[in-house]
Amino acid sequence: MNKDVYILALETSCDDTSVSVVKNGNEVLSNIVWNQNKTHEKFGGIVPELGARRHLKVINYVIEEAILKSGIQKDQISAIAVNNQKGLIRSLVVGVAAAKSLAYILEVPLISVHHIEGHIYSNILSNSKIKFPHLCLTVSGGHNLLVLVNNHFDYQIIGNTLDDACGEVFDKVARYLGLGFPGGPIIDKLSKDGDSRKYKFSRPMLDQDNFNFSFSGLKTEITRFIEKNNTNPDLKISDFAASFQQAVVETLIGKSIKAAKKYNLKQISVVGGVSANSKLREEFQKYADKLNLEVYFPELGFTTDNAAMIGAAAYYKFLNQDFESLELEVFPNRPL
Amino acid sequence: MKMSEKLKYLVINTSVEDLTEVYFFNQGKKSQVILKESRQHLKNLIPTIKNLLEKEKTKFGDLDFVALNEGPGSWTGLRIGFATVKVLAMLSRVPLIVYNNFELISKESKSLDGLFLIKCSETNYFYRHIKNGNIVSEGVVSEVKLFENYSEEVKYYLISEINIVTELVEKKFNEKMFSNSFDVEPMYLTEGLITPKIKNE
Repeated sequence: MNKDVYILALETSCDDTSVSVVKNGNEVLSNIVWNQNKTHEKFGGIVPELGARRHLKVINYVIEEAILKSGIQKDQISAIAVNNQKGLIRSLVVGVAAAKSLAYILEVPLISVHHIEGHIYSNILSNSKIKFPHLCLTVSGGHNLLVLVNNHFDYQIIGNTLDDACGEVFDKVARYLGLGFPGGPIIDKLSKDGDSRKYKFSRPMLDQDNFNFSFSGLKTEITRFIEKNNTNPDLKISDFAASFQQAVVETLIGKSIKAAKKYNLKQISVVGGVSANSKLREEFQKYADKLNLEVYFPELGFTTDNAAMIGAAAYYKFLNQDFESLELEVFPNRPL
Repeated sequence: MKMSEKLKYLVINTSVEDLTEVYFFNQGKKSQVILKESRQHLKNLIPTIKNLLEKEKTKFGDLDFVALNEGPGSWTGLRIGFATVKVLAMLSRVPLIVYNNFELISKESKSLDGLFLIKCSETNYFYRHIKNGNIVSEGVVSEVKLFENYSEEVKYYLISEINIVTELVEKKFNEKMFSNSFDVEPMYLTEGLITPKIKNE
């Protein structure tokens, strides 16, 4: 390929409206993320209809801003990429409808990317050292997988959550404590002043001989604990938050390392909203160093949902000429 | 209307859940595609626009304007219509005109008697009941109630059968009633926005 490839990518799967221009799969020229946290925080979670309305309200602004910031002209765009798989259906349709209009008017190919595929590439985009095959742990409010990434677009899911995704538990615990939304960053911050060994919560399924996760039991344990200690004057919320976070972090790390050993993989890539968690990064690095493994995290801006990761994945589909027709639809529940 | 002899435009309606309507008007001549397929706006809309314009040897950017039904109606349908047309209008700089189902009803209802229905959601309709040119009642009604409360003698009109849209949108064009593609939003109708007026029923 001697001509530069510019991909305009869209991602509207949940509560962030994001449009990005990515050059040659590794250079992010712009990555605009219009966050909706303010819209949803009073509800303590994402309201799908509100989210979809918000996407529609801002979509033209975000597209224009992304093109403007990238410094390229519209006629330089090589292809349009969009996440049309995995997410809230009402939100996904906004991005896909916009993407089709772009592809039609600009007369360029349309590329579809799975949301989780995007997350996997968020780290390939951030760390050029990541090679195939590697193990990928995806952790966010919507997914919680362990994936063998054998090659480009060649995945094998070896572990999944049996109930709640990890990020969801952070949100629910934060909501239960009345701390706000989203819960992950709030609990991360609170934990910094807390003693993570003060309370012992279970590390779910860590002793089992599989790579699945289950967080609903831990969630129940936590809510019971809060109910019991509601009026306890000695309970420090930071100790509690740190102990809860420790339980989650150790579970994620334990399972990942077990999988890396079994499949004989040296590289572990951790992606998704929860991969921004400072404790997870710190502890994971410690374990990896000890065991002579390599662990990689995306740049912080690429941990939560963003369109740059969609553009990065789409680049390799562009090289394969893996294009979609303008009849492209959404598949909100399609597995990776 | 004189203007229509020169105008070239599209009218797009996705406010009804199971109908994707695209009309192309070229110097007073109409060609149209009406697809009856439930919840397939996303799949069908852009290919329909593309095929229709290609058949008529017209580029989207050559249109004088694009008109879009802003509702009320199916939320998801409207959202797909809006996301599609907002971006088309922004990129091509073709002026955008929106019209709504209230405007259509109020024009058409002068000459017709019956019950006008617009599907707003899976089980709810916006309705306006006209008798002798007067509004008897209007509001939001569930499918179940609709069939319980109205006898067979009432004639039903689906909004897609009301064919005065050309007059309406060309008037708006002449009066330069354009919408900004960045800020325009559908008319989301929910119960409560309209106070049902039940008279003599």
